[in-house]
Amino acid sequence: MTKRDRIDWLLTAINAVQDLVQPKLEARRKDNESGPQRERDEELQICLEELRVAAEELISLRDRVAVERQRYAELFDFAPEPYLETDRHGNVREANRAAAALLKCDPEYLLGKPLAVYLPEDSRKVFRARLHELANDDAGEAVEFDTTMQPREADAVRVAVRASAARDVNGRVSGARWLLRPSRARLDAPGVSVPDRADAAGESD
Amino acid sequence: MRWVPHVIQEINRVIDTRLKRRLTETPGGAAPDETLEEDRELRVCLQTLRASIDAMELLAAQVDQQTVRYEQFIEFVPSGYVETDAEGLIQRANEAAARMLRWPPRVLRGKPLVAFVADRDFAELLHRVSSSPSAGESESRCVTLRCHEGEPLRASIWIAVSRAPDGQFAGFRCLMRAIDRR
Repeated sequence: MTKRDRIDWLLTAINAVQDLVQPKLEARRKDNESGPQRERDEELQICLEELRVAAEELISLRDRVAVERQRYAELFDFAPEPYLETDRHGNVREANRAAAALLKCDPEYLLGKPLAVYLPEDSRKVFRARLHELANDDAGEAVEFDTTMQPREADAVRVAVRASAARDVNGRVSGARWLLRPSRARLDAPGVSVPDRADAAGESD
Repeated sequence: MRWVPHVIQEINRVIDTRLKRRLTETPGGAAPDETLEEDRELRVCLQTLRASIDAMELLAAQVDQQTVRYEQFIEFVPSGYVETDAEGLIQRANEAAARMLRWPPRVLRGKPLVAFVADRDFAELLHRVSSSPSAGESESRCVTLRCHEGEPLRASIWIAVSRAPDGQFAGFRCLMRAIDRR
């Protein structure tokens, strides 16, 4: 069951409880009950009201999760440059379309794969050292270095790498973010094909 | 209401107290069937409420995690990043964008994006991108940015539409990189 399914199930359960209890409560109220029973029913009524508020809040929070997730996904997935996120061990957690295009495979295919497998053997040692640095990074600074990527069934590509630690809400390092900018693209504008190289040469970030 | 951990813990504590009270107050065998039935109703309500509060805690943590991930990513991006609302007013700019435009990010907030682009047809470009029916539609081009103090800046700009979960147009997202003409 997905998280969304669980919330839907809970909302259904709240509705069911309300539908079951509210009519009985109203019937008892019509009977003009008194004493401990009335007190108990008042508590029950308060609880039903709290459930109603809880259901509204669950829907609101569920929608906010969706909005936040979409905001990130729109930027990450469609960014014109290759971005990846890995866990602390360098396994790909997320890859955008540009990264998948660079590595010549579907974004889903990359998930769970060690990013190191897309580097030639002789570049992996440096990559792992950088990953280790990021995993133990306290300063939060991005690191930059050049390396070679080896896409599937294609020629190797020189890339300028920018990487930084990805952190959880408590500030703990949970993985790393990677921008793999093909060396040729260092001269080009993002997502822009520039036929006249002289026009775009020397971009500076 | 903000579902922070201490609020959730307090609500759970209150629910626990109420549940325990119901259990101890239910006299074994001595109560009429109606009373037992009402106690069952209340217990079910309280237990459902408790499950809801637990789910809220998880969802609130997910909202925070997604927000942190987004914030970290836009500052990781080396390009200038600007996000607008549906009217084209800047809602968010990263440090790199602020450096390019030479304004602090807080000053950029609420200003129209078109005010920072000298190209006369830029508003037309925004309109064209926002009219695109397909998700993930974007356009790239070179523009001249109006900067606070100093020379205008030639930059490449990538513009994409952001949409609400229901698919409605919600604003623009732009990535900008300076082009140094030497």
